[in-house]
Amino acid sequence: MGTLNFGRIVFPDYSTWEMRSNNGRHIDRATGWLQGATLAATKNLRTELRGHEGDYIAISYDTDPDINGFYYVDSVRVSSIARQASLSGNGVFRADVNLTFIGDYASTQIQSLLTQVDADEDHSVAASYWWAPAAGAKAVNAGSTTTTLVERDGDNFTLDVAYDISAAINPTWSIDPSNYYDGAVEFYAADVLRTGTEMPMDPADWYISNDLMQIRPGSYQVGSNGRLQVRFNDDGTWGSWVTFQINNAGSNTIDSWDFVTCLINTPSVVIVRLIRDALEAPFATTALHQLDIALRRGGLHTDCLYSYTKVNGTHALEADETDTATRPGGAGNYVYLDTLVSGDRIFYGCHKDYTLSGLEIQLDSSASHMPFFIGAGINDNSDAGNQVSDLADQAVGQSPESVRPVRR
Amino acid sequence: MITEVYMGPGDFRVSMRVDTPWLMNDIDKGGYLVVTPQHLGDPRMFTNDAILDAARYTGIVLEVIWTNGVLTLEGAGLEWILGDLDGVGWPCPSVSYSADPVTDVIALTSGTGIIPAASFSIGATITGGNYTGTHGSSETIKEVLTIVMDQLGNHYKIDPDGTINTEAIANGNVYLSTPEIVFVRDNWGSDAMYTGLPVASLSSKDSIREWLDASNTFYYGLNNSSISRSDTTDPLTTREILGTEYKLQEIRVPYTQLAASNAAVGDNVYIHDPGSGFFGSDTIKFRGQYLMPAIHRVQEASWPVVEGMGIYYRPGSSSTVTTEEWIDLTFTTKFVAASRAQTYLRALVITEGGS
Repeated sequence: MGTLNFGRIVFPDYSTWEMRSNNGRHIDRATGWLQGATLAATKNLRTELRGHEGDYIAISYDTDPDINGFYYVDSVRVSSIARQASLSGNGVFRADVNLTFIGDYASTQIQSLLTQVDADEDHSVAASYWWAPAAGAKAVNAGSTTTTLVERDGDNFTLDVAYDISAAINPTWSIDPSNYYDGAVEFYAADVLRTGTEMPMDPADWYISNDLMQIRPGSYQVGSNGRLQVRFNDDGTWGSWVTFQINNAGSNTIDSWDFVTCLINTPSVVIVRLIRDALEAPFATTALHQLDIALRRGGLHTDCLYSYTKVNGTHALEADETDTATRPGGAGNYVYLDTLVSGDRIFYGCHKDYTLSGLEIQLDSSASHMPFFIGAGINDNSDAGNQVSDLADQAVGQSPESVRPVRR
Repeated sequence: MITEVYMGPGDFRVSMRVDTPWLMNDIDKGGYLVVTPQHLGDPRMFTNDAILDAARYTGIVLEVIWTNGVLTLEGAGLEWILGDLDGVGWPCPSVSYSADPVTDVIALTSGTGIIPAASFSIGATITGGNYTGTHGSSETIKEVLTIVMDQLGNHYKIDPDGTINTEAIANGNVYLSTPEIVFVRDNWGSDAMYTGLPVASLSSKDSIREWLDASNTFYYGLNNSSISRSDTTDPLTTREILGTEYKLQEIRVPYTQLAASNAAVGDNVYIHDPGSGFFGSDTIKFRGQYLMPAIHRVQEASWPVVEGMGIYYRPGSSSTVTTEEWIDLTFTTKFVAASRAQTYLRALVITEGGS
């Protein structure tokens, strides 16, 4: 049967799939039976196939590579039929997908539409706009200004990241459809790679990975303790997890999150939102707490926003570790942990004015929100583009991205 | 759907896709709809200026409509504020000034807002004829702007952050004069030099319906003597039009291809389809062939709000607005899926003097 990569989903060998077309090898409809090794796995196939509805995806099929290409998923229908024993044994669902063929490797290039905008910040940092295509992308066209590329070696892939790019460029790049998701940001919930934003409601059982770093909630797969953990990869080896906590108004540590949702899940960015009830012990508050966590492809830092509206406070982010921290020059938008973690220099910072005391960075002025970022200089290196001071500049240069396949 | 018009207000209509009752108190007429090409995130992360700089479009909300619990915002582009050509709009402050044709891009505004009430001036530089005039509150700013632009041979553009820039029409900085887009009906695709865009429908109309000429030199009646046609209510000494013909094009482009291109309203574009009347005198090499496309200026573009864009509301009811008061409408707006979206462009060429 071979391996069919349908977007992010790898269909196991024993699902049957028919690829139909109206005009030669351009598939416009795929129908088949979804079946996994267990009923739970079969249901996951259903959820993840539906998650691709409305997406641009890459399809590659090793038994018939002629159909490899970029497609738009027009509609997905998955039926569960009791008299066909859909929910018995390891289950089976009927699936029907309508596709629009966009192009194959030769005729299609990918265009990343970027909007470069500076975060509102108090430290007069010169923003460094940055962006990364898929790992191994070729023929990257990033405009007329010279673009500096820096390599970041992750767990499975090496990503070329363009930083200090000029504003108002929309780079085009090329990649074989079977490699489209190399180096992409991946969102896992309950150990299942998600294609869309559907996820089970468990604030402690999800993680985001972009092959260079991973973010997960504490205490992972046990129960939410309000913490955020990050770890970084050095060319195939993951470092230790580093834990952070948020102190509402600088005094009440958030010790649990109640709800979780995924806002955006694309190969170039994943954003997850955690929500805490207002009237929850041990400290009752008057408004919901919200934490948005974003990770972009090729990024060595995560962008987060903690918000608590209605009553402003001097919120704080604190590393939940035993260590000391230094703020370079006593001022600036980031601090770093004095002790290297698995050889990496961990840094964290805030766009607004803040004060460092111990491991806690606390807002100077009361506000409804605290934007912060956490990242690391791998191996504490001092390479341009990868050193901590450059990464802190990249945290200020936002480049939200939409990706479109376009005719070459 | 948002419609932008070259030196015109255009309009927009954006609906939510779900009930949003919490917006009843916060969304009001006179606010602004700001559309960014990608969703930037929480507006509190940025300053007013940063978001407006990154915006693709800003319009003023003129109507707030609630239908069966669902909110719809209707309005027009920022030019609406300047007024129309019939005397309704921002009255021009009393000014007398003179200006020479500009050779570069000149900003017409300074400070904040559309046009500061205290002053309205056009920067001056070199060559050619000049303009001198006195204007006051019996004219709208739009009327004055139109007269001055006409006399100087200029056009102007209002950016999403409210600044107005003007240049001589041939200058090509505010609006592209040398096209970067090529519309063709087949063999479309891009080039190193040009962005090619496919066209669903092209039509050109050559018309004499609006033609006026008191002293006819062009057309003849069935009795072989010439025909006269003029506007008898308007003496030609004040408004003379000599033989007007126009070509009107309607271009429908799939949004995915248009998204990052430079086919903005007011820019010149190449259109090549000799079979539909589009051919010109410039030669370009495009995708391996020599073409002689026509050059036309895009007069109007209609595009839907597409998934991936950021939709924000900025209040307009006070003189100090921070991004804390902006509202992010992105997750509740009714979007069109990008691959199904179509953009409609109209390009128009008015030739005076006939040909």
